[in-house]
Amino acid sequence: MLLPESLFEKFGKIFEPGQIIFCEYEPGNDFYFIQEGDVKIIKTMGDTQKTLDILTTGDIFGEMAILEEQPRSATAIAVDRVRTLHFNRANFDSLMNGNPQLAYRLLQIFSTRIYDAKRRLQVLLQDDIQAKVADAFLMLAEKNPEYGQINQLIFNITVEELASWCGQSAEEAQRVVSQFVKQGRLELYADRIVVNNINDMIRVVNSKKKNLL
Amino acid sequence: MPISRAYNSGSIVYFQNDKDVEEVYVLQKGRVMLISTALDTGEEIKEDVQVGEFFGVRSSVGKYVREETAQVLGPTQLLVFKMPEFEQFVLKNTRLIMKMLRVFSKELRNIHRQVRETLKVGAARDPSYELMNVAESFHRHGSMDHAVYAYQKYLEHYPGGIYSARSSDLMEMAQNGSVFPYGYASLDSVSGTGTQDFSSGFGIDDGGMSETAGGGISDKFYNAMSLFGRGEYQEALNEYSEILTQEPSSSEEEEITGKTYFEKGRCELKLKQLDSASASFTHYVKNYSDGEFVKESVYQLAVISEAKGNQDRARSLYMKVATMKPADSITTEAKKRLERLS
Repeated sequence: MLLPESLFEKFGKIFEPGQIIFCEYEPGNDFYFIQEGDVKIIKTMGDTQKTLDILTTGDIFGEMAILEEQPRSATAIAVDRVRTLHFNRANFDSLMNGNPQLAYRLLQIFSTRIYDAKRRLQVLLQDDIQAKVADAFLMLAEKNPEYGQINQLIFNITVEELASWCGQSAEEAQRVVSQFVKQGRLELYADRIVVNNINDMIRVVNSKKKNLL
Repeated sequence: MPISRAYNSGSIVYFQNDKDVEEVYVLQKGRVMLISTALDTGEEIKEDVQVGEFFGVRSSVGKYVREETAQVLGPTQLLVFKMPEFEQFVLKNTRLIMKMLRVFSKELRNIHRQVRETLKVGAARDPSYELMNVAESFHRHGSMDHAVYAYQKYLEHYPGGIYSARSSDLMEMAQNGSVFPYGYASLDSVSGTGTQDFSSGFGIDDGGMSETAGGGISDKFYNAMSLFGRGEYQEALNEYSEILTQEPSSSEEEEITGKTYFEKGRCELKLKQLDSASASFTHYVKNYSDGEFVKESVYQLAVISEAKGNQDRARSLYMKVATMKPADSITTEAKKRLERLS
């Protein structure tokens, strides 16, 4: 959705190609609407930069700043010349009142965020590290439209990223992944992990649950 | 137009994990209970819907499976909105959306807090380290402009920080287009040293607390939370106390001041300063009655009372917590402690 151009005079901000809009771990309390252009969202993982998303005209980013001032969880970089409207908590209420569609869009975003955060917490709360790794794959699979239709799924992640979803060190995650590879459950490549049968991951999670009873 | 639908006692409006999320409901008459499972304890959580209250909104708006089972108790009448009707309805009522946004925000904050608590081992280091790490990573990859931006942000937010001299040096190199110097000491080797000449020129003379010197209330608050996260409770307490000597200059700062009382109480608890902790939590509950940590504060007050041997007061406070919404892990813990005291 696009906001009225009349807001640009007061809230407009233009970023040139390649310019950082905000940087990961920088404290911030602004959130942005893209009126025109593309924005790349990247995250530093160890010493590499991973692109998480490319946002475009009509998208919103940095909206977590509505909640509280906290460090940014990723870096936003203008891909081309980007025209944005930027707001903060101080002018949030008046903005919402004048733009109910926008308020509704935020309601959708927050609903999704809550679900995703709860799902992530569910992975973290698994007691067993194998179950954590398996459940992390399931969590990521649930976002894949092919989940439920085909058994073999490809995840464009590294072991390090997998470890961060599990809240474990890369070494610990690597141990489990190696075990799964030996058992033929996974295939490990430099830039991706292939789960040969996603139902295996469901079985791992369920078997660990049974052990708890 | 939304329709009114009658349900018999025991009927299920929807089951947890149902994929059909095309309807949103308002309880008009009767009783509906939302039954879900606590993520941390696996216990069943039951929550009554109030008459006039919407339910089933989040899964419908977010297009996810139902997160709880909605069961009818006694003859009940529900107003049922199809999603397009709901959207039309709320778009004419922005205040309702704002109210829901606030509820959602509060919930998201709670989940994030749980995530942070769960991740306490092996979690990210303090944000100043991480920001510096991001800057150096850009530098190593030859993204000079991005590196300069991140170094600048480090210096802006942590002017007397442990990596400030390092940040200035590297920023200058990046500005001149020089690659990240080969053999330069790793960031980790600087971490925790504090006394090396990395702090030169910034006059660290207060035990490192000048990391946010000149920063506003929110900077101090964030720094204090980082200190708490690192287990430096006394330092965090000093920082929180300092915040409370300052006059908030915006609604945002007022909000932070409120939270500061709660966080200060947590530090005092860690430092076994029970009377001070009790005073901090009491102040928070009395003065920020709609704050997000009221329930947790009352719970902490109950724990303190129990620790001080005041069983009656502990019991009554645990009982209060057990009835406070939402039913979550604090509710479960309060009930357990109540049982033990009875």
